[in-house]
Amino acid sequence: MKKPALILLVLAMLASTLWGTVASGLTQIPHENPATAESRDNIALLMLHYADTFDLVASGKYLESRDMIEQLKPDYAHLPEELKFIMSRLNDLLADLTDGLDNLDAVLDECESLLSQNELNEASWKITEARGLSAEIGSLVGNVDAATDEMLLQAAAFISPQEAARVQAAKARLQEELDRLARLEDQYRALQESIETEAEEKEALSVTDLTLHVSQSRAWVGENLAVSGVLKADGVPLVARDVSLHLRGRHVATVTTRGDGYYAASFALPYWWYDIDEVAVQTFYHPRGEDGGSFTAASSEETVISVLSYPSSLQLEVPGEIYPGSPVNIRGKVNSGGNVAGRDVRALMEGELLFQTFTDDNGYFQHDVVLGDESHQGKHRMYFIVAPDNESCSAGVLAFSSVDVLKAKPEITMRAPGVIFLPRRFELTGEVHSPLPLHEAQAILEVAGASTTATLNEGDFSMEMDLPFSFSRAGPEEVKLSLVPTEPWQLPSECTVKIFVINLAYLLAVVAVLLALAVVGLSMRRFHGSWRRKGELPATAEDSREPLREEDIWSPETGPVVEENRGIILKAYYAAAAWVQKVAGVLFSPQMTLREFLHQVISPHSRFAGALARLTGLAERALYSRHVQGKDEASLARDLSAQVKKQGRRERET
Amino acid sequence: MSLRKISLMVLAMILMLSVLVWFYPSSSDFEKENPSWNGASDFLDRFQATPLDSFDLLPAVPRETTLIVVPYLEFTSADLEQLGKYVSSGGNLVIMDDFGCGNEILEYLEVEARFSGAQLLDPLFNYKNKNFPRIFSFAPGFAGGEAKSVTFNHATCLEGVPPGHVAALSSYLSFLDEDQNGEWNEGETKGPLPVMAAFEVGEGRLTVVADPSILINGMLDMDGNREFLEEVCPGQIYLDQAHLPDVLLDEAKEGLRVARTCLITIWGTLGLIILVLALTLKPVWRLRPPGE
Repeated sequence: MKKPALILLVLAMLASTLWGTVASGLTQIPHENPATAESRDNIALLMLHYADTFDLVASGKYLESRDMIEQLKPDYAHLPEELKFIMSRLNDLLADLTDGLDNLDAVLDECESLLSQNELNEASWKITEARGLSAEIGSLVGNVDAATDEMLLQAAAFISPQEAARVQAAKARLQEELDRLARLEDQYRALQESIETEAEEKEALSVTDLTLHVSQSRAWVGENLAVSGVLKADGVPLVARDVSLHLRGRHVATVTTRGDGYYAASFALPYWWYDIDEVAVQTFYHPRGEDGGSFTAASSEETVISVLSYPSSLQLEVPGEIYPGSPVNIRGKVNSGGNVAGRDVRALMEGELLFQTFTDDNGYFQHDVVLGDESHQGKHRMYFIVAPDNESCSAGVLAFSSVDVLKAKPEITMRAPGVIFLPRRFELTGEVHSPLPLHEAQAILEVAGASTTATLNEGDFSMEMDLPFSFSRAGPEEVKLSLVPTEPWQLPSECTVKIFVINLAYLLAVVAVLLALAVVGLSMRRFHGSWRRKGELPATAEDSREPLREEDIWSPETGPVVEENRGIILKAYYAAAAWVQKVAGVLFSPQMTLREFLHQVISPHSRFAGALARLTGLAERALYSRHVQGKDEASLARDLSAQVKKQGRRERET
Repeated sequence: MSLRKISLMVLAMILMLSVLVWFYPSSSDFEKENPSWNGASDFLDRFQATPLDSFDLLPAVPRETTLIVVPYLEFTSADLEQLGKYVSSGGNLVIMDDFGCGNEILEYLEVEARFSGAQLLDPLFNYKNKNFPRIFSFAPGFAGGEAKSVTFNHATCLEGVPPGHVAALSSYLSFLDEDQNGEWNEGETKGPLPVMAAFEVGEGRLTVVADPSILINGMLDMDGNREFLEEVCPGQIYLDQAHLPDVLLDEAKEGLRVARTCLITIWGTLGLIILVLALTLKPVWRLRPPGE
């Protein structure tokens, strides 16, 4: 291999190695390209998950099993679509089964509790409900079984040989848990039957009866009410038995029956203000101790009482837009048929108390509010709570108002000269406007890394900045003015303009380079010209140029020769020219004139100069002159051609 | 071949390599100019975010701005001070980390949560495989409820998060692969595990996310990643680029940038002009007519 090629090869290898190292982009951050990541299903885990869920259901842990079902979201699982569908169906069935079992459990508990209190009527209703639930659960267990079978069937197509063993183990576990579910269903059925037997046994107890009388059908909140009634068993009064009094299903008092089975009590109607127009009063008797083996439980008829109070309303005047830091006046009026004076009014925003105040004698209130700097921009709800007034039976009221928390953004207009010659003092003028007061805002003027600050007020402004010689070479630059207001109701704002910078020093330097290049060009030309005239050009790189290849040498055909001597001269010239091309390595291109070729050759190869110049003269005359060439000229041409060849050969040897 | 020619070839090679280095896109993770799967160019474009090479460039008034930090290089005390100042003055700081230096920041901010440092795997709820866990259990109100699910890429989990601050949990089938064998083994922590947390720090807010990869180009459009980022990153967003590990290409680019910066100064340009002048005028200087 030749030396230059070897060097080139080494350099190319070095370059590619360097580039490979640089561009490889090795990283220590552990993450992978999601587009090329390998996809892997996990069927066994899915089955184990269902086995765990069945286990929880079979263990009666309905809350946990419900949580587990809720967390198993098919949409987020990495599974085939077919399995996702079955998974979704199975989840629904499992949720229904869990709810059904939970309900059955609760109903059966209730049956047991009712039977223990001898409430046979209620118990019989619940037993009927339990029968219905039990049938539903039987059907659900069958459906879960079928859906699980379907899931296993569909999953078979996606199980890899490596996963087969794990899936088989998971399947066995799943089947085991399904069997447990079926056993659970049997347990509930057995429990239900035992409850029904107990209920039948209790049908022999004495039936009790409880009456209730309430003194009023309407009452104001806080007002005292009197209740009374009689407790009897098979027509015989029951003495010294506890009767419990319930208001809206809530236990409020317990009274004991007297000698004739009569009971009486009084209580204050609670201050229930909101959404309560009526309350139900009811009394209950639950046999305890020895009574449990003798009497059934009893409950009175429900008596409904209308609840009276003065409703209140609130009229609000709240501005729709609020700027943080800027005070706003909020006012309102409380209206009520009861009392409106001195009512407690609280305002809240984002769960925090904004203010608390009291109404005047006419129900009016007002308050100045200043939102803090930290208030977030956007829509907010302001809540107003007027507390109820117990003394006057005046209800409370809750109202809200939507407010928009805003911040103003100052508008900046800037004027700057389009073109700037450096170095100079740069002046920027403009105006700042804002819909809200703006004082002593901090202004930061930045140009290509250099900056200056000033304090601005609303209106016209002017800022200056020194742009030194070293600021920039030339080109477009961005001028940015950032405004940082001090008021909390203002937002930071900025504005940019483009300027074109021309650095005079840089411009001069470029001109200097261009001038220098021009001077060098001219000098080189003059230098070569003077030597060419002398014909003593020193050996240059051209002397050592490589000889031309044979195929590159151009030698035109002489064509049909009209005159014999003319043909001889031209042949002699072309032969010499071909020889010169070969020896001197100078190509005689087809578009070149004979004289141009001569000039190309004589400056580096002066030895050819004399003979070739004379031969060129003869050839030019033969080609372009009307003169008829003589034999002597043909002979001279032949000699000159031989001379050129001889000199050329000698030169080649040396 | 003369020494002059070899020198010219070496010079040409250096120039060619420099051009390649300058124009070849970066391949660094989370890098602003990297358009491939692990870059952050899409995130910066779509969120109109500003890449930050230094915390000195943070806004003086940080309200209504968000700073995302992917801490893969250690923080200097000055950096930590600036971060603390940013968040306590009302900025919204989002730390996204998995196996980096995020705990340094949490420690400095006196927040109880820590990045676990072990990989979180989820064999069932994932994208393609267990290395891409899907997160779909969010605390009520967190992230505005817009993002239904977020997909992580080689993530970790958080430890020591007080209950009221947990913002999102992994699935109950996920686990921490503490022995790095890719399988769950007895003793390894099982899900649900906290993967996001939110705290109030001073006047600002701190959100901690146990995977930074959700913002790379290859993950941005996956599931609800984009919606999630929109929710937790309000206002003008800044993405820290100063604490990411550099690859050789970036170092080479930086070297060229430094050279360019030197050359584009007035003095650099003048020096270059003088050098060009000297080289241009050298032949004239050396040429002597034959008689002399």
